[in-house]
Amino acid sequence: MDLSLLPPEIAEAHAAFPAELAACADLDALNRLKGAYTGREASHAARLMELLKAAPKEQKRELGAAINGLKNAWEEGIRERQDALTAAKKAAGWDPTMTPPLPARGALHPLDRLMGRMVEAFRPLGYHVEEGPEVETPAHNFDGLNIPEDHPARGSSDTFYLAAHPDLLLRTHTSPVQVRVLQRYGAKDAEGLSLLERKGGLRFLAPGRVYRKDEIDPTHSPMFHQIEGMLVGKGIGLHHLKGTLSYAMRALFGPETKARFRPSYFPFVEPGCEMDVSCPLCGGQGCRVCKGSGWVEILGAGLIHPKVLAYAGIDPTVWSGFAFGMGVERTAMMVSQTPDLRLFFENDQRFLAAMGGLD
Amino acid sequence: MLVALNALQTELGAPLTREQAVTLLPMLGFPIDGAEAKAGTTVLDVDITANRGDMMSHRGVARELAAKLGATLVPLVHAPLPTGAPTREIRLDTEACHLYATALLTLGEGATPESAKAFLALLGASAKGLPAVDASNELLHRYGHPTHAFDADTLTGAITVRRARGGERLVTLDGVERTLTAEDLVIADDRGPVALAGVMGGEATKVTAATRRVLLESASFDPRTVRLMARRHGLHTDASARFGRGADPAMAAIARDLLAARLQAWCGASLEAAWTVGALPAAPAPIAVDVTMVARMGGQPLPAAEIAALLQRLGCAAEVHGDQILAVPPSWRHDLTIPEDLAEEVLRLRGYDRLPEALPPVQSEPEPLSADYRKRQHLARRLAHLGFFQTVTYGFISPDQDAAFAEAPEGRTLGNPLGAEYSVLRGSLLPSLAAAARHNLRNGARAVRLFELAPVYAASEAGPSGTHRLAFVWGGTLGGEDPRTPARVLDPLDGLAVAQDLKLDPAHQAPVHILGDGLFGLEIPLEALPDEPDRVIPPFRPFSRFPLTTRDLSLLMPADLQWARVEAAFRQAFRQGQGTEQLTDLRCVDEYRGKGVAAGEKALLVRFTFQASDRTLTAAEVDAWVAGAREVVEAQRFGICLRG
Repeated sequence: MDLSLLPPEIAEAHAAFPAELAACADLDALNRLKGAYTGREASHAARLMELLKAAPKEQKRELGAAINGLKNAWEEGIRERQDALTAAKKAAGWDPTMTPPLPARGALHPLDRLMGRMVEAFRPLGYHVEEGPEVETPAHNFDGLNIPEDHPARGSSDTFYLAAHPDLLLRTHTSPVQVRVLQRYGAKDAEGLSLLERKGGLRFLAPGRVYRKDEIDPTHSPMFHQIEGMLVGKGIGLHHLKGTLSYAMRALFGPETKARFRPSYFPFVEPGCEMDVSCPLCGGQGCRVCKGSGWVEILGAGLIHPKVLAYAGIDPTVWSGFAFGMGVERTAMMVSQTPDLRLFFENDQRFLAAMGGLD
Repeated sequence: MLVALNALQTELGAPLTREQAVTLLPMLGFPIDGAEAKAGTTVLDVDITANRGDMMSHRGVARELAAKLGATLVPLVHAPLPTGAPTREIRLDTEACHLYATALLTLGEGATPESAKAFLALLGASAKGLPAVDASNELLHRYGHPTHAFDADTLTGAITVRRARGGERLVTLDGVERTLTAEDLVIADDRGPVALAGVMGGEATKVTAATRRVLLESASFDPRTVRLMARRHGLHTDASARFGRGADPAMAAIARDLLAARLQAWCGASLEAAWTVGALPAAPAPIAVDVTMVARMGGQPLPAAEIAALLQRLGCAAEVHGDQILAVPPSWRHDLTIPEDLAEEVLRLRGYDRLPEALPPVQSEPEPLSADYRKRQHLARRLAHLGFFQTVTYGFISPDQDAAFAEAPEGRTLGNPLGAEYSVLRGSLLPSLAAAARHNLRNGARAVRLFELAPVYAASEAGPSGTHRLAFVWGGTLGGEDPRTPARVLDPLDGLAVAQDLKLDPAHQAPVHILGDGLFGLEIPLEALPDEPDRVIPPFRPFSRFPLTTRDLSLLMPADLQWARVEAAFRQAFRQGQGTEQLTDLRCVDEYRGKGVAAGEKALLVRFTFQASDRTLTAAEVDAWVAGAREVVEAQRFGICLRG
């Protein structure tokens, strides 16, 4: 824009414009500035229009362009400043510290969350989820798991049976899902091949509700949850169980988590073991939760007993695998230091809001 | 089971620190439930698994520790009693008792020594002051084989080990009269049962301070028979715990000898006769375990010699034959029957901490999560985001609770419930949710929004069948807790809005249940809700880039006219007239009754939204469409007219 054609006082005014604009602290001041620069009368713009009118014809085109440029620059500057001042005026009536509206806030149940986290930990290893009925037969709940005929768990003082169907019970663990899935994978098809042979292996988790005839107290409940896992393949050993569970515990409780395996006995596995993890609360230093030992017992596991495979029609000399099972409430109580098991079934929204989350 | 550290040291013949015991036993598979300093030593509470009868004594625990430490036990010295002809006939009329060792002694003067009393006191078992009883008890804890002493002068005729005859009665040592069944195993004399075999002796034949002559019993009983008997009579004794898990049959005669020797030493008893009926079961056939099995199970090859050596440390007779180890388990390890048992023992004794760790090779393709599981996961997350809390409630409820929402509970009732309030497998989730909601209201919650995803049960020929349902309850007051959100009471529409958000199949009738206390409930079978789409991104649907135009009509109508009918009438009118293609939304945005509206009437503010896919609509055409539709609707007999 060529200002040389314009009178010096206009050029000076244009040079002063940015500072004057910035000095306008409110809309009134801005309106005064607007009047002085672009008003219809007695403004710089009005003077320029008079100049243009009086200018010789051959200068008009060039002068007109310069004048337009100036007017546009002033108008744009004023508009921007006006927007800014308007916004500031609006904001001045707004208290950012005011009590805000509460967004809707629900939560998943902590037991569901924990089972979900387990599934999440095992998904990268290719485990899917299998489920089974809560009303079960003794065959699936006991026989197929090598639990002896005279085992006390089969008695009516330990296990709920249906009145009209004394041959049906409420499953006492999620392990009957193992039996059902193994039978499905062990059954031969029309070509004489089993699903296990066709797929080359099997691995899954089975989360769910289970029932035992325990009176309700701070550490017992007639209904609780287990999450169980199983892998079947060829040449599977305890080292695979250790590797898998150690990985899963790190995924669940953090990368520093250590796992320790102790021998134990369950009829459906051989060898059987229990796994401790370094206390998730103190990291193994020793605290109230781990009773100073630095370790907490977290689950039972083992290699699948050959009789369990054979019961499902799977040849234990060809196939092997491991299984593990975790008490969900027990782990949830330990990790969260919840003092009373009954809180998980009371469903107080204060508890659920504090313990649950959205994933 | 309680064990005293000093008594373990006696069996080991070597020092054993508390720290060693507390560290080693859990890593061998026997967790320590407690360790208490007592009388200058430590008493450990050791958790013994159900398969290890051999561990139910100090000697058994010491033997396990010795195997781990590579040590040997102090030999069990006993002088075998000279056995001879029976002075009383003993008959074994059952296969549930292989061997019955006995001795007849005349008691002299003397008492239980202080050392034995102190040992029993450590284990919380006080001495009775009767040497025959105390010695039997001390032997049980030290060596694990239960024995019994009868007052010989109270017995009549022959001693028979037999099944009880149904209806026979016996008063046991605890003073309880028990009616026996044909499954019970008893020791009987000519007059009837005198003891429950392997469980408890009889009151009438017990040793007392007046007893002069004792008949000792040290037998080998079938574990299962004893387990069932103990359970049948609710009589779990030190003896039944040991015989029930399997006591070492080879110890039967030895325990008799040791008991007799103690009575001779403690109270100058003199032996009249000792004799044994029956025989030890034949030694089991060798079990062949292959090095490849051990290598597979442990994840690393172990030399056959090392495997054999480890098995020998556990008391097996083990020989290496090429890649196989032939092993005969010791008499006390009846739990070792298949090759896997032996492989487990090898790995256990070496220590699981010495096994390598590895992820298994991927041998099969991963399978997807089932549609049903994903649907439930999705619904739970959606509801949580909508402000609902997920609940977990018991699967069984009371018949009264159940009756409000389900068919008769026959076929869904438990035979042995914890109580009537937990006796019916629920036919609906709503009773449990309503109870949880009331709990929250009672505890001061302003608003309650709960849901549960769980199976409900229907009776069938084959038994109760479960199907998953989603139920949610809501009620109370939302808002009113900040300047911008007015308070409002939750009503049935709030839940219907959630059902709509979850894309409930419109064909499914889901009535809102009015639960009282301002609570409402909805229960939906999962099949009425859509599966999560399998496609990562749904198929593209074109949308219009031209502006939306809205028109609001304020309409007067009878107060009882339902919105659904108004909406249907307008949609029908548009279909018959013009603008139906462009009508993208039709909704009631406000409802008013009161001043300016006659009683029995209401005013609805109805909003019509239009949009064309190919052009900007003009005000004139939209006005004409709305006016046309309104005239059609007004002409019908709903009593709808434009509010002036």
